[in-house]
Amino acid sequence: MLEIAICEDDIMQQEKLEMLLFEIGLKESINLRKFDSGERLIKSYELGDRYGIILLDIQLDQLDGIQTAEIIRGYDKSCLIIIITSVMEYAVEGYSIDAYDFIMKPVDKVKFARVINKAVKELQVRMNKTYLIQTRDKTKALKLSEIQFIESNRNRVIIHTNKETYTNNESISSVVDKLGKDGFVRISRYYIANIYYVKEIGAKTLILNTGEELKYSEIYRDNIKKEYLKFMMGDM
Amino acid sequence: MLKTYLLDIVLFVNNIVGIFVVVRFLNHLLMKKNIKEVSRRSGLTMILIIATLININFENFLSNLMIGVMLYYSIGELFYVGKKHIKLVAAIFFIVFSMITELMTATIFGLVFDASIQGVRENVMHLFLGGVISKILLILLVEIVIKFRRRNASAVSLTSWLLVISIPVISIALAILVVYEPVVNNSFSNIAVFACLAIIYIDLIAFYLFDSIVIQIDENSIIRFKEKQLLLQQHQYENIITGHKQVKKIRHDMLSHLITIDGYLEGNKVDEAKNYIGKLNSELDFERQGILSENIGVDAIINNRKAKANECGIQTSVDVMIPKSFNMDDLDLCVILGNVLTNAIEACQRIDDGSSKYIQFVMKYKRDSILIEVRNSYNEKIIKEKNGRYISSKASRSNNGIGMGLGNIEAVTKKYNGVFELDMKENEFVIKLIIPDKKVA
Repeated sequence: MLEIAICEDDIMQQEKLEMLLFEIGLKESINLRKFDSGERLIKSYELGDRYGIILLDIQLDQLDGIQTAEIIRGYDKSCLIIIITSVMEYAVEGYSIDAYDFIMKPVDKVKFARVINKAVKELQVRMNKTYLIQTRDKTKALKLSEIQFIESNRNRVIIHTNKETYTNNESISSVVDKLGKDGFVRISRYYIANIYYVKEIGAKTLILNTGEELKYSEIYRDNIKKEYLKFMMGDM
Repeated sequence: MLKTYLLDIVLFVNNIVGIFVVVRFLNHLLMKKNIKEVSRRSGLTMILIIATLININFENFLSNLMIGVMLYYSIGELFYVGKKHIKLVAAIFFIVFSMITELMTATIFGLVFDASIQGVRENVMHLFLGGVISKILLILLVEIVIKFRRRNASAVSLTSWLLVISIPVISIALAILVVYEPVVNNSFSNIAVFACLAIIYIDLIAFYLFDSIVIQIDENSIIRFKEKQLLLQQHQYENIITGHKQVKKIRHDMLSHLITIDGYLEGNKVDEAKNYIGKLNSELDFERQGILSENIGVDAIINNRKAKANECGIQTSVDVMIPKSFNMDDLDLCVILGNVLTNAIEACQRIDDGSSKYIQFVMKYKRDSILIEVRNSYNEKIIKEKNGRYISSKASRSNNGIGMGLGNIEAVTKKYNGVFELDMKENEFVIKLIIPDKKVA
């Protein structure tokens, strides 16, 4: 089940958004919660609820959308916040809270469907895909979204995740075979990078948004570019 | 009288030219420190005097070499910003350059004077001529290095550069000609000394002037570009002001609108009320007033190009969602936007078989990068590909400096470590750009 929250103080608009969500055909697969203020949404977060997608109106009563989003980001960095607004000025501020996308009011059906479908797809990929590794006593599943890059070490691989590093008895080329379709791209004999963490393609190195730099090999350059373009602009 | 001091004069002139050339070399390699021009000049004069004194008092080749490196390094250290090792490498490079030119001079001597070369050390005239020629060669060499390094940046044509380079080449011949007679006869000539000094002076001045011209040309093209930008922005402000007036008027009219709607609803005429609201909506359509984003510079360019596209009967759609301001240099962003849009318009204009002309422009901001995508229709026969690059059919000659062409887009993208992709599908031309939004020096 996909958890989606609508945070909108105008009840009519709330219902309209709900209707649009159902029109896309998401009724069966989502768990929808509606809030009429930022405070209520934050309360829900305090109680431990988590949402994959939040449709957030910017002009809310007490706390505005941006303030609400900032507090939510304290609980959950990865949820997709989609800002809904009638004033462009506010939409622009959304960049500060890493908004996933913007929808202008009055809401256009086609655009709404496109943005939501895109978000749902991204969430599914993020939540479900894992890479299995064999540790000393058990098999462990690493979320693909948490793997930054994978390094080859003789006939093993070192997996660098957000939290710690793991090793697995597998050759780097067989890892490429497994993860090549999920946004992982070979950048040299020694490295596979998760395109999600790429910030910049430098002259000789790939700069990750963690600040780390990985040297890439010239022969993979075009492919890295292609994957990066697909990742950044695939849905424009 | 002149003859006794000739060696000192040789050293002095040598050092003047040496310092001039090293300053020119470093100017292109490093950033100048922020020092007053007066103190910079007096500092260089001090170094010149110190260098000459050292040179007069030491005769050892190796120690002269070491002192040379130290002097050049100290010039770098005193007047330029930058890493120490780069300055050191530059100094060593420079010494190597001067050694190369001296070797070349020796070779030229061997060729020209043949047997009479033995007396090099004894005849000051030899030394003098050697000094002059090797320095002219040094100027030439440094000039070539600099030209090679900034080939792309400057708008100066190859022809004019070749013309300037011909000056030192000719002057070497001239210098040899002037001093030939006294050297072969193993005698001394005041006139020859003055002539050589004059020649080297002319060379220095020629390069100095050439440099100023290059700087002037570069500045001019930037100024022209900025003027164009300002005009665009002025137009944009006019748009905004009209937009603002319209909003004021609407606010004023709001009450009467509400009364009208209220009247419709009272009479249960829901459809009429909806229609009425729809009409109001279109009156408030921001896009029609040229407000696409909060970023005035970006809006100005897009609106200008959009107006041009409309004039040419091209269907345009624009989807812009960007922050108010960028870290990226405004000028660079304008170069990119202006070029991609102009490019698209020109491609559409060349469609002559009556098929549809359209441009779809999307600009977004994601993960600290600016994303731009332009799709347009085109006539595929006209655009051809050369060495993996797409060349627009318009003669590249008209792409005079800043303003047009895919090359400029590529150059700016490269500057920011961005990604640039061109794709030609059947009848659709797609440009995709990802530019990391950061400051680049």
